[in-house]
Amino acid sequence: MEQVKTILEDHEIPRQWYNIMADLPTPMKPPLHPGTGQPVTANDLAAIFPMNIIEQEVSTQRWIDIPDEVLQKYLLWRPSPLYRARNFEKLLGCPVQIYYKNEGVSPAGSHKPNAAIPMAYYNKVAGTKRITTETGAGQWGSALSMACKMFDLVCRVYMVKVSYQQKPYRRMMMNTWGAECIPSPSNLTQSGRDFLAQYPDSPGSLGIAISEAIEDCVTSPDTKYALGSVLNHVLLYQSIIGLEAQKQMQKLGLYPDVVMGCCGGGSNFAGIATPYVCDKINGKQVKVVGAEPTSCPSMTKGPFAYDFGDLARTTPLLPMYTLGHDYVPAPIHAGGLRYHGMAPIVSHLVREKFIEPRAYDQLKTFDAGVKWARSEGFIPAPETNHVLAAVVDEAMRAKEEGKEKVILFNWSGHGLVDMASYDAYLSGKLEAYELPDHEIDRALNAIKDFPKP
Amino acid sequence: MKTDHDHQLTRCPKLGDEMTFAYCLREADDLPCARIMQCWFRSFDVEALLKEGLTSDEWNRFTGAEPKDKVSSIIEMIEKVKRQT
Repeated sequence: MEQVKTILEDHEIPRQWYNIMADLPTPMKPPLHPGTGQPVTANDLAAIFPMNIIEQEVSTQRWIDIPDEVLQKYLLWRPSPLYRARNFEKLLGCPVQIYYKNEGVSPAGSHKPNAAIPMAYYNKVAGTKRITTETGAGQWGSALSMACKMFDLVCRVYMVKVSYQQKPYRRMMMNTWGAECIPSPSNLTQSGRDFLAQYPDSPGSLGIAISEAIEDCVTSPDTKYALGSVLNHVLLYQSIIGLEAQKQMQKLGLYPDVVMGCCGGGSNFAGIATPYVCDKINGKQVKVVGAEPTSCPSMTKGPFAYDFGDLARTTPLLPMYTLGHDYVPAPIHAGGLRYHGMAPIVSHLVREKFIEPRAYDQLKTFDAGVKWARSEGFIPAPETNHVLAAVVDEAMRAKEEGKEKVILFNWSGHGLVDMASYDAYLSGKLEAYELPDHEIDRALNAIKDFPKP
Repeated sequence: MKTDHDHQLTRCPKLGDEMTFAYCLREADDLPCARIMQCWFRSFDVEALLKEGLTSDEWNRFTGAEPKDKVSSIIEMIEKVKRQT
């Protein structure tokens, strides 16, 4: 019998979160107030966050104690098991050992409660009675609903209407945990009413849902707002994933060659990655890879090259199988269309070359997810499939290079309430990307001078 | 704005859900989602389609929108609510 799981006992759970802000070799630029152009102050955020969370948002203290009350809730499923994916290894037939943190074992089925629980706790301590938030497909909304119930807080979640209709099970989870889940745009806020007056049949958007959640927070007594990704304190709370992984890998006498996670807003990726980035900053040889979504064409059609991550050439070069940023038409370069959905810390670490981002298209990620489900059994969340595609990619590289590698990644959640997404993939409803040859030639010409990794 | 691609489906990285092109066309109030080019340009000529379907004012607002980081956009929302109340 071969060992699959490496477990930490309850008493071995890390007692502190790790704050990468303490170890950044170059400081990050502070966010600026859009009105004054000056760095954002604690007071600017005090209307929506309690001061104890704001202090952590701006903290540069390396280690921050995890309160006992939070640890006690974490113990419901933490320390999460470290698995070795022996069946997936066999399927790939590459010279790699693949280990993963199973964050799907949390009550909400994802890594999100790692942040939701301390947020609810710190709000409770600060005297908050009620929390508002927004959610897209509902992973964050359900995690916060559960956390609020644990600390006896009222929770209202504004869920983008189209997802509210398409993903009823997440809404039901929120309701089961005692939260109110409101389809956005709603008639409960001025911004929602204004929007509905103009667009009565609007399917909603994340932007409108955030506006509603913030308005509700600012205009209601004893109410604060919670955001499940992007911000520094969210990434701080998620660091428990990587800290546990380090202890578990140590038990096995191993250190990973590659650490991987999927990058949406950056929270689950940073969770597994930041403790290892700390090692890397201190001289350890480890590759840290973030997998993000793109509608990239088939890899056989584009060379692996460094490409610009956004259209205005302001982000670092992103190595990916690419047809080049220049493919997007020229008028777009002059203006906006940049989407700033990634955590600033993660973007900063990419810029400083501590993290290597890779992009995978949706069909490739679902293909990896289905292979995983058919070998390891667990059905991954669609977002988790991005890192699985990266793991497959890394394993194939190891085979090509003839190198043995130890890969560690964060399996960020299960997909049991996302089966409609799998159905869309399995029934061929998701877009396949095929470019005409003349477009490929033009795009390849545009990146001919780009450096190659 | 109606197009032949309205029912085509892709996974939306912002929502974590499958969305139609019709949704992407009106994700940002009356304007297309800021990611619409990245998500769709490899499937068909989305630029030509938008140029044809949007008014010149809409096109200019769409391509000229200033991107903001999360904290700045949140503060802008807070200030807006404070002004209204």
